[in-house]
Amino acid sequence: MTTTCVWLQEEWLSASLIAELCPAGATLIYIFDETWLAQRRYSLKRIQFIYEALLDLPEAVEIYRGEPSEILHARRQNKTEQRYLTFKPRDPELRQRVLDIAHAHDVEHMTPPPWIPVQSQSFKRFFKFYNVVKRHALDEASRDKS
Amino acid sequence: MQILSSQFSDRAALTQYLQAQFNDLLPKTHRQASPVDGSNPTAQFIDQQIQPAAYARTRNFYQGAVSQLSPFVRQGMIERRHLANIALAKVGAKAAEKFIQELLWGEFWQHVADQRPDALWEDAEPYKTGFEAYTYKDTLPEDILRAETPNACINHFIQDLTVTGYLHNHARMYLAAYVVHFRRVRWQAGAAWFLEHLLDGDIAANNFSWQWVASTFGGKPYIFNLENVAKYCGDVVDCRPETNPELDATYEVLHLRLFKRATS
Repeated sequence: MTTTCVWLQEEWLSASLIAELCPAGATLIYIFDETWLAQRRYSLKRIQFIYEALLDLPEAVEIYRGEPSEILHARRQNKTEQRYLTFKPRDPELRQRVLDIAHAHDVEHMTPPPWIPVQSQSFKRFFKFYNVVKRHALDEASRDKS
Repeated sequence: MQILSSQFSDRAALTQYLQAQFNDLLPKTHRQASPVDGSNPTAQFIDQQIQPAAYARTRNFYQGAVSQLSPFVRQGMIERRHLANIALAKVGAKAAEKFIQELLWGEFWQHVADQRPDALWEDAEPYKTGFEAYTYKDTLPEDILRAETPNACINHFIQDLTVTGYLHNHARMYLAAYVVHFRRVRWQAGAAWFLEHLLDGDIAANNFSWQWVASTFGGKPYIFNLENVAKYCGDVVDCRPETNPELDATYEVLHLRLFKRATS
């Protein structure tokens, strides 16, 4: 059986999503990324909020502080996990950072299904966007299983 | 690399632990926890917070029926579509539309960010204030950071931001307009400040909203006056003219004062 490690991301701390997308028995890890925290200057309020969300997940999470590249490299050296997964962040800056690290460390990324289908058209003003997507949003048939 | 603890006797112990573990990375001020706990909200709590009909009537008021669930949405603990589903089930599509529209603003800003990641920190368009971007200050003045501006209502909103990590959307607009137009600070400084504190701080919604207020992502600058703050927040926030001297003016006067070099 393949052992898997899932590197959680701050925008996807959903118990149901983790249960749905992550292999059963996977080890969950979260990294308070020092470079990212220094860049965004998160206050203690934000760090604690994320921490409490992690502690409240039904599956235990190994929580680290450090550089993700070093931590992933160290796990590769010391652990027996064969497969690494992560979630693709929505934040474009975080996404770029995570995907760069994932690429360098052979971490596969998962993209949770969007609520609103990705629009090929570019919208500059909200109501033009809204007029295109509102039927989808207001249509109960498009609802998820939540 | 450091493995962090998962066992704490109570919330205060967690705060103390995080203050020590992240000491070198934290901003010098505001090192307290938010009163909003990041534990997963119960289904009952979520249901109670969603009042679509009242939301449609009162959302612009400081004490209006907004859900305050945005921090949980930001961390992906609750999906926007799930909130929309609850709203639809409660009141149907017509009465839920305003609430769902608000949820879709988040999707819209994400769409814009994905289309224009270059504009997350750069002016998407020139300012329409009559001033060139280089004339705006790069950093926030100390009195703003300390919630010691000449205006009581602005100080109240700054306290909300820095103490709780949550700010009503209308107050976000007031504060952004104050920073950019009344104090002529670049929107980027304000946007970074919000991302530092807001539990729901999302770069797409945050930065493009700041740009919309600033007029670098919209047709005109957004401003407000004291009368408007009093209308929406006056039952809770100090909106007396004598304690809010910079804001107590008509829109005509403010336009002349703030945008006097504007060509349109």
